Amino acid sequence: MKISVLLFAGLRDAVGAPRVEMELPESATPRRLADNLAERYPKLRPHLHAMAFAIDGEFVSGDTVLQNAKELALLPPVSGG
Amino acid sequence: MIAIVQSSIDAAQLLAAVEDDSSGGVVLFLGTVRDHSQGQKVVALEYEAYEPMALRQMENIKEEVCKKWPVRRLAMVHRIGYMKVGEISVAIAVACAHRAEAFEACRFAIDSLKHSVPIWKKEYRPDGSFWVEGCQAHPVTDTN
Repeated sequence: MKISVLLFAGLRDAVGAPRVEMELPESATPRRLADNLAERYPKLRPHLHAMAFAIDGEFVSGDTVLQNAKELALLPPVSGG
Repeated sequence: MIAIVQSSIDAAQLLAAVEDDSSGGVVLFLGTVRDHSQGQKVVALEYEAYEPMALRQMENIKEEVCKKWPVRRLAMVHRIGYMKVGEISVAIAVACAHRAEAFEACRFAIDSLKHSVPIWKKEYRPDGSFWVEGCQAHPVTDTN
């Protein structure tokens, strides 16, 4: 399946783009997707341990099955306020 | 009033948004750009948001605050983009019948915002710019 990955702040800088399209098996999880992406973009690797994931504006765990998701956001630890 | 804005935050607008005759206590919190961070000089901050999700999380916080305290009105605005020292980056106004619950509700709202709303800041220091991740700063990766 095709999925759009949204990247923010330091993660966007590490990849060099705000959005990346990926082709993944239906059984893929956010954690697996992030690991795959870090193989393509090694600068992402130091961020892997701390990132959070969101589908449709809600946080999801790294083990969630991505089946039917169109978009996954990779979020560095937030620092608003 | 829940909003993410690009231009300056007008505190008077938030106070007007929470005006309510049954409230006897209004607490206004303003987060401003500070000139230092972890012993380093800071000249400016730049905020970015995952906007649809940030707005949704801000609504969730409002809902939670209203469940925990008898809040009559609540307004929450975060600014994004580039801001100089002294400018307001975030503002929260809470109106309640009594001051104790207004203080507690406002404190909870800003603490929750800092923990769960997908907004990030970049610090501009004399030695470069750094994305702040949680409470630690990391150098900005040069992608060129």
